[in-house]
Amino acid sequence: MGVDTDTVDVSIQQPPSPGVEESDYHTSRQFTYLVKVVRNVRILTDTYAKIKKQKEWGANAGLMGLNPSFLKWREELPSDMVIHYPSDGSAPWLESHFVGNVNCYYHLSIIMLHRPQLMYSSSFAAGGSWKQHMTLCYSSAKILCGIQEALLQSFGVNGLLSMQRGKSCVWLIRSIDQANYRRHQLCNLLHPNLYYASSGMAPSQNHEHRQIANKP
Amino acid sequence: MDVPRLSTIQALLILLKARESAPKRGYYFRSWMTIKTLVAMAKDLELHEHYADHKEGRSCGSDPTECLVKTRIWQTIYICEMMVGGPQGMRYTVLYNSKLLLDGG
Repeated sequence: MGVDTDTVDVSIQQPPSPGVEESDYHTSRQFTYLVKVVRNVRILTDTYAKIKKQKEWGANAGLMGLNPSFLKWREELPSDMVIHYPSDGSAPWLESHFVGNVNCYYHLSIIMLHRPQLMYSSSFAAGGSWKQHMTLCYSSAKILCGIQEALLQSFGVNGLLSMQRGKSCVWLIRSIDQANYRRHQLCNLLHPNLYYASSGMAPSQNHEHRQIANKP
Repeated sequence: MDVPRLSTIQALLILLKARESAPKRGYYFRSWMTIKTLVAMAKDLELHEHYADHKEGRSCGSDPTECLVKTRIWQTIYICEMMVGGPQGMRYTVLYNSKLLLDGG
């Protein structure tokens, strides 16, 4: 039992099929990009399942090989789903809470992919490759905070609750933001279990959330 | 829940989301069991073969709107299985071929 990834259609229909309402087509087109980002995470978790018993699984070549495909999702995003972040750091404009949330999933996926590579970096010397992983994770965490603030401002709490799943992810991103640049805190916060802890779990039922929320 | 239906699947997906707002005892396992029911019901309706049928030029016998609904439902089940099962460490019994993914993307 289970859903086989190659049974899931991720093609973008252009133009819409005759007989389909314009609004249905628009919704389905945007929804396909959510499917694509979740597919990337599915690939990541399937890869992890095969390598997790290795001592340095975060440095596995198969895992690192996924890096380009995750960035490709963002490159292929159509213009109506791209979020433009004002240079003054104010909350970006969002066409809909769906656009906000799907971009949140993307940034979560980047953190999920790069934090193990950060944690298992062979060295943390100045100028080392660890820096690119940390930069990507930190940048995505900051953007996530910005999107969540925009969602709250424009759509209220309902905007946050409208994620397909994972209303408590706001706890995760606020915690990451509080970590600043202190590497050991960032690594602790970016522990692999953390994303799973934020996905679909009510805050009161997850002790890791309370630990993270209480960190300085 | 007497026969597999698209509308029943849609209702179960809504229930899955509704429970998220008011989790009760056994919430995680109940969510996972809902996913298993969804997958079983969807496969009874052959939603797992819907994409392949169209790729091979066969009609699914539905009007364009219902055909789109079938695609969206299967996509949503895929997403929810990942998001519910992933954190709970569930294994997926079918290992896909990653080359197929690159070709199909």
